[in-house]
Amino acid sequence: MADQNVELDALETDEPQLTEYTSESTGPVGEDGEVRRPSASAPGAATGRRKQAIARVRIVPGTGEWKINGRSLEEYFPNKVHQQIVNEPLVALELNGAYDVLVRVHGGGPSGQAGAVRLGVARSLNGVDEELNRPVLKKAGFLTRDARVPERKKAGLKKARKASQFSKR
Amino acid sequence: MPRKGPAPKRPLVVDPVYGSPLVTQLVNKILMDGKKSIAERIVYDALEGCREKTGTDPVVTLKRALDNIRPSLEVKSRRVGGATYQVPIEVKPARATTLSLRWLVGYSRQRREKTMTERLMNEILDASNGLGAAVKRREDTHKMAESNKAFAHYRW
Repeated sequence: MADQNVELDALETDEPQLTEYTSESTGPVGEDGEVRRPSASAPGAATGRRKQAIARVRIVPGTGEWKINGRSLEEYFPNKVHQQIVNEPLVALELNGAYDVLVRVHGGGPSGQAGAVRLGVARSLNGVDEELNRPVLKKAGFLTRDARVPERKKAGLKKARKASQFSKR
Repeated sequence: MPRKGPAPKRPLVVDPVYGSPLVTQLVNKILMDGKKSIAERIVYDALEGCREKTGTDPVVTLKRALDNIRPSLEVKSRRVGGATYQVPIEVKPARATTLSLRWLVGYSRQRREKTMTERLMNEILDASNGLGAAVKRREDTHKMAESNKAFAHYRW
């Protein structure tokens, strides 16, 4: 018992004393104290996933042209909601139209694919300039893999939770 | 209430066509059985119909309709010493918006037109002119609050 306490004490003193917990850093500041603005500088690539969909995304500085499985954005995602979702990371960084985006996406349905593309775009932007883009993307939650998936069906139940009606006798 | 205090309000995403969170909320109220694209079609078609009929921005029409439905007072049941009183209380802005959308959609569903698009469109147009069942519902709610004014001191 006694040596356990000693061990615990040692562990506690080893840790640096944190007063606040945050995974976010403050925005970067340039050499002359001026805040740098995000700009389309280098190409980047990343993978995004959501539900069953997997999107391989490549971003190249350009004119804001989309190519998803060989088709344009409006063609591939006719639903306006999906178009908005896919564009969100670029809009958040005010880089709308500064990048050409090339996407290969497979698996899942339209909604899951749109979510996967969004994660892919956000991750590639994060890779291009981590210092500048990460705080904004992180704050908006674009870098988080949406881990929600359908709950599995259970044996003895109709669906994941639905049970057949209970009859006492 | 959760132990860590009230849950934080999560802002609604704006809808992609009109850029208004109100429209998103309306879509979610129309939504049945998880069929979101059908709900979206109903709302956007109805709003476009409003634009045709009034010739103005449909979001403005919708806002005016909701302002006509939005209640300022409602009654809430409270038990004091075995008797239940209907205590009039003020409605907070967020709840007022939610209630007005709920009534708008609810009374749209009871209308006699053939399609939900027409029902919703006409209910919005009626409400924006201060007519319609949803506006009547607000008057009823206010009347209830008025007649139970005597119990207002039971407010908590």
